[in-house]
Amino acid sequence: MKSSTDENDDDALFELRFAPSVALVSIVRKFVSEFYDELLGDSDASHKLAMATHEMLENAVHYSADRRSELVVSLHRKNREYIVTITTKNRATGDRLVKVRHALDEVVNAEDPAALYNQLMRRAAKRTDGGSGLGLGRIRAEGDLSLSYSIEGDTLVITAQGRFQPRPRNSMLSVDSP
Amino acid sequence: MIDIPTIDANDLRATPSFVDGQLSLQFAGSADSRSQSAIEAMLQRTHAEALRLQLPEVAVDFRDCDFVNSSCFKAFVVWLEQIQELEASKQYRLRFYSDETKAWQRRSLQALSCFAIELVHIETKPPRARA
Repeated sequence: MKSSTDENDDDALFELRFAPSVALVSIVRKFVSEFYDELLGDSDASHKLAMATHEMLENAVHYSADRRSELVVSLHRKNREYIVTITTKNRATGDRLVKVRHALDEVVNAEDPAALYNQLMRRAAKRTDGGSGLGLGRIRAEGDLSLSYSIEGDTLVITAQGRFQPRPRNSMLSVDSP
Repeated sequence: MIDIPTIDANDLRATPSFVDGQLSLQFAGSADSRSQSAIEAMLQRTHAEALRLQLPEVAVDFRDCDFVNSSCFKAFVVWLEQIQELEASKQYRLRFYSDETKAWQRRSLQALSCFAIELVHIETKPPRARA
């Protein structure tokens, strides 16, 4: 992990490569929540980021072809706001890639994330395969984060990004710092 | 006397109670995929008990809850769908209590409310006093 308050490199970043289990995902979620609560001074923003991290990593737990996953969470300060980017990367089978591309296209391109989320809930109520299909829609609707993705070979990369206004306090990245 | 299982595992505690004719479920901690089947079982039993007791309302207290993942959230969507499918005279409402300091609870519960606006009532309260 690296973090910096340098004026020209005003960011913090951490990267994990691991074989996630649901228990480990919860531990990472708690870390992300506390980390960004400290940096942003905004418990609601940190909860949104932690929720997105959790949903993205749980997807990787269930669908990674080799059980491995990579998580990168970065923060960059631009003008007077913070841009936080969460990226997960994992390999997936061809069948899974077809399904996830369809699901991602629907969520990424939704003009009204809340309306789509409601539609996803109606579908979820009828699902009997144990999945919910709600995680990605929730990231946009409840997390107020944008989503994008890329598929390179058998590797799926999903990125969530959000912009947050810092709340002044004794944070190491406070906007009030000289 | 009610027959609803409690949950106490994997960071989640959920406790049913039946006091003065009010059936309540109190959730505390975090609900992730490890708790999904336990929550589904609890809500199924709660549904059966609400029908047996012919209750007009069941309360769900989320105030001590820190996180609910989408799989566990789906269990509540399914529960609401089951209530919606009942004939009108047997339907009952769900009253959710949320912590006014936890904005995520309001967002999640409002999404649930949009799914079944006539069945969901959300009440925001101060945080429960810690022992």
